[in-house]
Amino acid sequence: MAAKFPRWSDSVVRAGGVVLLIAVVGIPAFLMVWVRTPYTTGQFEPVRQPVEFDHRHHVADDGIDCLYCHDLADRSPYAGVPPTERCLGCHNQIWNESPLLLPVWRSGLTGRSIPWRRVHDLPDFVYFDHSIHVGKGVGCETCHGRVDRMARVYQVAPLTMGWCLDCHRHPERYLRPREEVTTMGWVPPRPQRVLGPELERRYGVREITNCTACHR
Amino acid sequence: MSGGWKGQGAVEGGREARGRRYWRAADAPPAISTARPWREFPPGAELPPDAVSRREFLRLAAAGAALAGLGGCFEPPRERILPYTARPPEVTPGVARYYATTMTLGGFGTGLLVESHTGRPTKVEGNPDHPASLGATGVYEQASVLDLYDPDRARAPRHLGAIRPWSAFVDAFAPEAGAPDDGTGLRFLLPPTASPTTTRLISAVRDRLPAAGFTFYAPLSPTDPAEGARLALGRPLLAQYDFRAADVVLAADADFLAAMPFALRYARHFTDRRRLHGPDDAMNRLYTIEGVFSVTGATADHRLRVRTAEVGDVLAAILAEVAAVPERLPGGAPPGLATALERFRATGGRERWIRAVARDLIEHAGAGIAIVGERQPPWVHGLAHALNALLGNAGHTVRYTPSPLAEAGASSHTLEPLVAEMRAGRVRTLVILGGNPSYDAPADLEFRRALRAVPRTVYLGLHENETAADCAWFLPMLHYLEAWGDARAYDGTASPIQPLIAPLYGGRTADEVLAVFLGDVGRSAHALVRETWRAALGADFEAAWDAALTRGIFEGTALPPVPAAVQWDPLLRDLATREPRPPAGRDSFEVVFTRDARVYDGRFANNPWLQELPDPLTKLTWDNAAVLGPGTAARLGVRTGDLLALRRHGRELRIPAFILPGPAEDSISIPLGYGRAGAGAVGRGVGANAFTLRTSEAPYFAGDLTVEPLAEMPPVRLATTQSHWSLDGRPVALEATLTEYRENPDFTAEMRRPPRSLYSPFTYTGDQWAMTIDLTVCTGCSACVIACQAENNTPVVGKEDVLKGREMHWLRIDRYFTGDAGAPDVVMQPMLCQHCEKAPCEYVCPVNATVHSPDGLNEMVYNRCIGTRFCSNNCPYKVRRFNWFDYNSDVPETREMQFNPDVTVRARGIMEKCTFCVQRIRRAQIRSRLDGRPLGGNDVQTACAQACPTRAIIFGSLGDPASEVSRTHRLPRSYAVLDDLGTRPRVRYLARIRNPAPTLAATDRAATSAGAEGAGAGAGKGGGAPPAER
Repeated sequence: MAAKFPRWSDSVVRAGGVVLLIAVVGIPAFLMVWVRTPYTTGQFEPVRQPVEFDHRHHVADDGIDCLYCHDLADRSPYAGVPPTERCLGCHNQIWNESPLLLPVWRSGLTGRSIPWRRVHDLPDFVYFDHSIHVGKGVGCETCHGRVDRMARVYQVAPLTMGWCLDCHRHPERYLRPREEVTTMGWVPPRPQRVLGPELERRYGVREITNCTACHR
Repeated sequence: MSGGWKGQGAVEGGREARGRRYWRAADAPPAISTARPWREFPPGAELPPDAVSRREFLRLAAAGAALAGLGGCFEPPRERILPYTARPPEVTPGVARYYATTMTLGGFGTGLLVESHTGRPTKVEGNPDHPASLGATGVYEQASVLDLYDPDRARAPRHLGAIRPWSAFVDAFAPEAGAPDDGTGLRFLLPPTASPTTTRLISAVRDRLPAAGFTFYAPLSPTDPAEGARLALGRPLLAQYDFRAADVVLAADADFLAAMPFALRYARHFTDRRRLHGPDDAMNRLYTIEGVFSVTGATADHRLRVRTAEVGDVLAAILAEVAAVPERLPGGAPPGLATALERFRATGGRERWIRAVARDLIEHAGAGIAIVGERQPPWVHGLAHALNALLGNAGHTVRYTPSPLAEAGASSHTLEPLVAEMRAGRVRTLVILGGNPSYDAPADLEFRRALRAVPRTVYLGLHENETAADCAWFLPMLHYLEAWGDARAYDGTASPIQPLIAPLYGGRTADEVLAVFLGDVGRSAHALVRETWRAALGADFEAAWDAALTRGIFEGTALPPVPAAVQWDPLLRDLATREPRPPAGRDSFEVVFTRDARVYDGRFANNPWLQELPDPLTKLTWDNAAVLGPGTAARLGVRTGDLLALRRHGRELRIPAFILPGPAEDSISIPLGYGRAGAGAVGRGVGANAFTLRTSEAPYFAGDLTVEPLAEMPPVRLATTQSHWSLDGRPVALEATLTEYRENPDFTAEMRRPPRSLYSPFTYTGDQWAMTIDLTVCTGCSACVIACQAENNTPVVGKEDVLKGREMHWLRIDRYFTGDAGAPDVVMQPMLCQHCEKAPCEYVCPVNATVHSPDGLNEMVYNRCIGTRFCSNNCPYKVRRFNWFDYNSDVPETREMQFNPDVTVRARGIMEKCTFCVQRIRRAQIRSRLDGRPLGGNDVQTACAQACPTRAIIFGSLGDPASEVSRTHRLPRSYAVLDDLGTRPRVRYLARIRNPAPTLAATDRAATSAGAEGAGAGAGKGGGAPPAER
């Protein structure tokens, strides 16, 4: 009796199985990985701003503290982009004739805001509060990276929910003393696995993972 | 749309609790209910808002598919951050600030604290320091913030339709220096005002232009109370009531809990005497006599149903009973009073009721209040003054002060002389400062025609409305949230109006326009107000001014009480002319024009929150209707929705009928403020305009209405929510009388039988959020509903969608009737997410979009929700709302400014529900943890609890055993709705306790309705079903 199927039909079935496996497992897996890559999270992409402001110079060279400009970070949900008057506070004295400052002068003299472009953009259903994080000893650097080494600021963290929860589940791995919150390149004086739990106790840090902590 | 949903006709099966039956819809008493209510959603709820044809659908789908691929080609643009160029030192972006200001309604101010987010007012709260608010707000105050952002507001001055600058108006009207002008032919028309600055400017104008005239008119500001005081006391004084000291209250057509000046204060003080902590606590008692079914009537322990015109007769009979026993009165009774009132004493069928009230008032002499509604004629007010004087209440619970209104009691408060002058051509210039007389003046005055005889007309208004269309000059008015000014409360307490935001569209205040006529053209409203107070505040003006702005009141400006004694002779002479009314004729009906619980006199008609707010009693949205009782409806042979032709003096109004149990027989009430042709896009043409039937000789009620049902016309579909979100006949609202409660304080025990749970216990940590709702003090006023909407960015869906059951209110007030279908008792029950500890919704969500938090919240995670609606289906309380459409996508840009930035604006296709204002909880927790102090159990308030005038809603943490909510959860009369399902709700209700008079026990409650001509006949099973049934 002749075979009902030619021999090569086995290969077709096997190949089909592989294709199916790729479709069912591979494609979702690919998509799940894809959304976590910097291409979708927007990490490491320097953002061009209307003013060529260089954090390397202001933070590293001049030693200006983060909270001098982002002064709301310890008392408001927003860290705050400084008002133009903060820029001109110094720059009406120094470097005041630089053409790079033209947009700043224009803003300061006309009263129209400088249209900064947002670097860290959370979805609108996420309510992140800077003040409580700063108050509990989460360093600026922990989320924003070495801003003192960035010419144009870019996003370092993926800002995915998994990334948030990583810290919310194990805050002791990331805490630092409150006095060191704005320090760039801070190195724990003692091993973090000793210091972290100690700070967690001292600041009363809780592992908050319920949904309405961030989603309201 | 097809299917069995009968809309208005739908009646619930009637629920039974503790031997009483409860029902919600009005059309039919429970005995004859056959229609099945719709359950989860009505048929057709998933249909689009407007019918989209198949062809249209395919066209859109094809276009959508063609464009779908393009989206991937572009990176979304980066969001912009626009910081301040110079940040005001007091502003912290991201942290809300509160400013004290005042909203004026009906001439009197209510102090408010308004929340501001970087310069945008978003939410209104009451000012605890202000006597008219005591921290609470009503629906109008809550909704007023949306009026500020109304895109239909007027934007520019106009002359004959052309846009002109403000200076053109000034040039045309400011007096020329040295010109011999004494104001001849100049008339001003404005609503009654108590503002010190406006009052000062009015007298300045009168001084400078002695021939100029002022008229004060507002459709809901009757002069009858002042005239009544003049009749009885010799002066147009105002009665100030102290409900804290009143054991017995008799309200004669007085809706003092919701619809009178100072209602917020009265409601708080009245309910303070009903907040039972235990069975031994005393409780006040409320009797009402009324024809319209009001919020106060629904709260009453005894309600006598008579036509509005007969209220005075009943009050006279009570006064006669009291005067008949002078030996039991503190000061005796004047001779002749009892005989003067003798003919009122025999009024068929009501004697028992009247005698019981009189006895109760006498027993509590000095601790009672008789209060009369503003729409009643002067002699009825006189009766109340007499009653309060005889009983010795005056001086204890009732005090008298002069009226804070400008020119109170003067003839300038009537409109007729002005209209006569206009018609005679004696008015050359008419300046209308606010109000809307073209729409709301009495119909017989033909104000619009008289206006055409005036050569120069000016109108200052928020909107280009009916009056604006009739006037040559139009000036945009500032909303109170963007204006400087001042106001006085009902007791005279002055408070500042300070702006929260720079004017959105430009505009002026009435004060600034008045100043123009003084030649004072450059002065801002700010300068005018400060000038008023510079003299009053004395030497350290700046400090005192700042203190007043901070606190929201000018200290010590309440008017001191003045001695007032009843002038018996003129009162007796007047009473001698009064005759008890004969029963109305069979073919004429009484019509009562009522203040609408939502749009007031029509001024809020363009406010979508208020249009969609269900009326406290009819639960009607987006419409008004002729409200009548079942007996009257049966006589006319009409059902809810049937069109009626109402006629008076040759004027006709076509309006649908709405059957509500409770109004007096042959009495029809129509809320004013609808049918506005000149409103903006929201309110234009909604409802029918009852002002067309309203005449100057009977502005509030009249007995000469003829009614013709228009049987050939198709019935109107009225969007009432009374049958929505039914709990399917389960007992949910519990009540008892005070006596029953004392005999068996634990009577709610039958509701406490949670079964054992199969689910594993949940670990709770930290604060434990919970709520108590006291049904004894809830009046159903609905301030909480609007407060919730304002706080939580809840969308408005429109009439068509309400008809389909898509309204989005997170908090609704279920209104249950019980007892006699003609004169029912009412229980108001606010219903919101119960935050069950074992929540049925959580178990069925396939994507974990609704989960539990360790602090006891039932969390709703919008970004996870995929819209299966399983949760709503499984919720026994029917408190989850589904966004059938993207209701927020077409919100006008200006109204987006009202959005609370701390709450997600939800999109189409997701579920939402009460969150216990989680944004407030988290904000308070963050604040307390940053400040390093523990959060107290009473430190967080939800929007509903904060707004509640009676503090019926108590919120807090059960983690703190001393918190209010912990204390009230432990009370024996607290119960959880549907406890036997084992859901373990975090919201507990305190059963409603009524305090009927022992002399008017159960059987007499039925007799009260018989008093109104055997009304509600056939409902013989009686009002308070005897407790023995239990």
